[in-house]
Amino acid sequence: MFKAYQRGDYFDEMFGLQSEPLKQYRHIYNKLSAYDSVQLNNKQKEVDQGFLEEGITFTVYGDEAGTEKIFPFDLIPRIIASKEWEIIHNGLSQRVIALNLFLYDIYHDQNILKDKIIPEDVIKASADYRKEMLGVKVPQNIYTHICGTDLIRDAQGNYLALEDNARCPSGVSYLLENREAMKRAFPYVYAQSKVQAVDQYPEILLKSLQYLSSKKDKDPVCVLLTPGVYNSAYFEHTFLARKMGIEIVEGRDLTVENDRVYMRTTKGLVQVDVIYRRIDDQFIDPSVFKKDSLLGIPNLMNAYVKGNVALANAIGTGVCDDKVIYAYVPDMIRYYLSQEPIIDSVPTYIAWKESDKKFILENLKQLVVKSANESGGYGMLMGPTSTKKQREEFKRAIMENPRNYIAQPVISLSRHPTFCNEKTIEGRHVDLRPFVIYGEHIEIIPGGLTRVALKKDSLVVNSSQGGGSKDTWVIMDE
Amino acid sequence: MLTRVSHNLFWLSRYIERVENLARIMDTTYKESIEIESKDSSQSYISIWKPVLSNLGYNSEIVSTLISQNDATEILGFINFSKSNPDSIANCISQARENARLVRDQISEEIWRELNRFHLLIKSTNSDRYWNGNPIDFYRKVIDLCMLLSGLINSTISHDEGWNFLQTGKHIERAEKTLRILTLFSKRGVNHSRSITTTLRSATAYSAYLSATKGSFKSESIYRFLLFAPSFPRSVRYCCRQLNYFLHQISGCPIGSYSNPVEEHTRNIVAKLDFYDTQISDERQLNAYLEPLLDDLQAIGVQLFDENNYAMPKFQEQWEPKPQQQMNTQQ
Repeated sequence: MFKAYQRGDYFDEMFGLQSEPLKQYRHIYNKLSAYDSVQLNNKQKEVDQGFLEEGITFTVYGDEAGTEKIFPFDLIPRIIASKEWEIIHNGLSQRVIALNLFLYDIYHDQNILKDKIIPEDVIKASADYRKEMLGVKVPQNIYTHICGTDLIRDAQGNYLALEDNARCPSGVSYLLENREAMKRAFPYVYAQSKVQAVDQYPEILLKSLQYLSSKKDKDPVCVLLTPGVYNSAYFEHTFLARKMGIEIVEGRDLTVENDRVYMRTTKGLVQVDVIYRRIDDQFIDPSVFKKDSLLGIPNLMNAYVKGNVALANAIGTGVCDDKVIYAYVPDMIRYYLSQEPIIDSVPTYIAWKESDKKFILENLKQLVVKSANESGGYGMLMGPTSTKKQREEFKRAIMENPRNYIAQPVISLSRHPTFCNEKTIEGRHVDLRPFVIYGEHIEIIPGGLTRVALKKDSLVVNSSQGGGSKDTWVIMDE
Repeated sequence: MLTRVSHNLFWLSRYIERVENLARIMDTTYKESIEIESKDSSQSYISIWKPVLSNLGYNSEIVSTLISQNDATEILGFINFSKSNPDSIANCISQARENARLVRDQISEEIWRELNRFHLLIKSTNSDRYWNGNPIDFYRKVIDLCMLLSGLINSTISHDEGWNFLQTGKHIERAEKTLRILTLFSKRGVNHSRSITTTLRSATAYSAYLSATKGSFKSESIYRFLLFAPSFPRSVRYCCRQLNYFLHQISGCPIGSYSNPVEEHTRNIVAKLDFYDTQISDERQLNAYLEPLLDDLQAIGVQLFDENNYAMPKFQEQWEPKPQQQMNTQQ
């Protein structure tokens, strides 16, 4: 299957910059070489059918006929050597600790602003900065209990942090289901490869939620709050609730009385201690944030501020997802931890700085421009493939509202052999989203969700825009 | 358990039961309709399908449109797959699955997977064309899958509060469908031997009835069997007693007393079935007996999730049943 494989001018996950597979890939390489395309395609079909029958799907907005789709899955696993993983693990831990110190700081003493490491205006102008959180004590001083930092690799294979997803990162259910699918499809290769397990995730997550409860003597009541069945990640919400054995609730199932949160049960009101919420800040309490939100719970913020209920993640973490603030993460690491970042960030030009703005406007064609508060691959200009009209539009938008834009050089994401068009193996661009849980300790399940841009040459890996995923194996040491 | 979740569980199993009964009624009717009785086949066609369709609750306009084609595929398509018919088999299954999606943490993986496969089987492209050409196979498949789900519900989850709500939905629906089969029987002419067989088979009562009565095909004895047989699982009395039992399991109130209006109402029905069973020999008496029972059952279904009546702890906000579900309670 690899005879016609073209590594191209990219860093290849399987081959690095060489023509022979890297050590951790040799086993699967030999196995796959023995398959023909029909066999591989049959495997693929079986796996796809399995996903469909289990209902492992996401909801596609505004499409009546095919409202549920499976997240395309590629059979060839991404494999990370344990030494390499150790570096990623340490780098992510460092990053998440710094982010939490930063969040605590900006909602309390604001030393980082007083010391002029980050300009005050940048923080205050962030759409997800929540002044309601000023001075609020959150349990254990942790803000991001679950963080899904996206990592990419540049042309030399260096890992770079692309964004931190500190609000409600999704995808972990696909990571866990991908692993189950791989075990079914390749049980022998899997067993021989000595892959580190990932199925402890729900348990770790539950522990980190229980850690937030003020009740130490008895079992705290934890629930997962979902926007409902029409949310694109609804499968993941039920999946996690089921695996943790906690209730999945909608806003209408909860009520706030005397600054305490209760759920409505057949036996009356039951107090809730911890909410793993999968609803953005904006929608969570109509009495404080968006008034017309039907998903939220009126007066939830009162109970939260009083410390009668814990939320994971905390309110106001979205400020870390602001792409301008992202540019300052290396400075945060230096400021709070007196360390150098283990994982670099992508060099970022901030249109809000006069000199950077000039550079951005002059080099639009070579850059990726992103708006500060969008995610999911929206509000983005890919310079090299853009049309003149698109560039003009962005130019105007940047001049009008420079605070809302940043630009980065185009990083030629690493590629990974991927089974394409039901017959060939070709290189496709990938990223990696590990899930960092911050409970009593920081824990990261080995690997993460590898997302792959299935369209040839595409750099956009988002599921909403033609992306798929792969299982990710962290191999144990020999 | 969340009240919303209990609602979803109730409807999940009620829809499955509805589909199973619907498939069986359609299956027996279809088999009867392909036996040509007279040279004028259209007359026998109308006399068989018309009462069935109106009995299923469709208004006269829909019924006359459906039978005017003199072609069973028209009717089968409407009952089996029609998107515009909220009570079509396809829509009921998709509703059952929608309810299951909302309570996946409460049901087993097996129940979810089989229900999802059921949904995919019916939803897949061209399945309507394929199955409408093989109606007997289709109904057998549907009935088999419903029974599989019923078996999984029995044997893969704990028999706790959630299960009690599943059983409540199932028995309310089952009692109602047996009543409808009986009203249909009285409309169809009770002394017709083929109609007797169809009726018994519609309620899967054929063998049970024969062994209980030693083959006496008298209409009154059929009424009595389907209404009162104490141990036949689809007789109205059996279903209502079950309903009563599961409601008491939910509330924890001992049988014989009642703690809320739903239990009170159910107890009245059971009493009616236990003590007033003597004078049903003609169609008029039968209908006079059946109709209030149908009304009672419908009322219980609504009452069960009405916070104002239900004596379980009350909440300040009121539950509004989803529009679609509201529609389906009215048949």
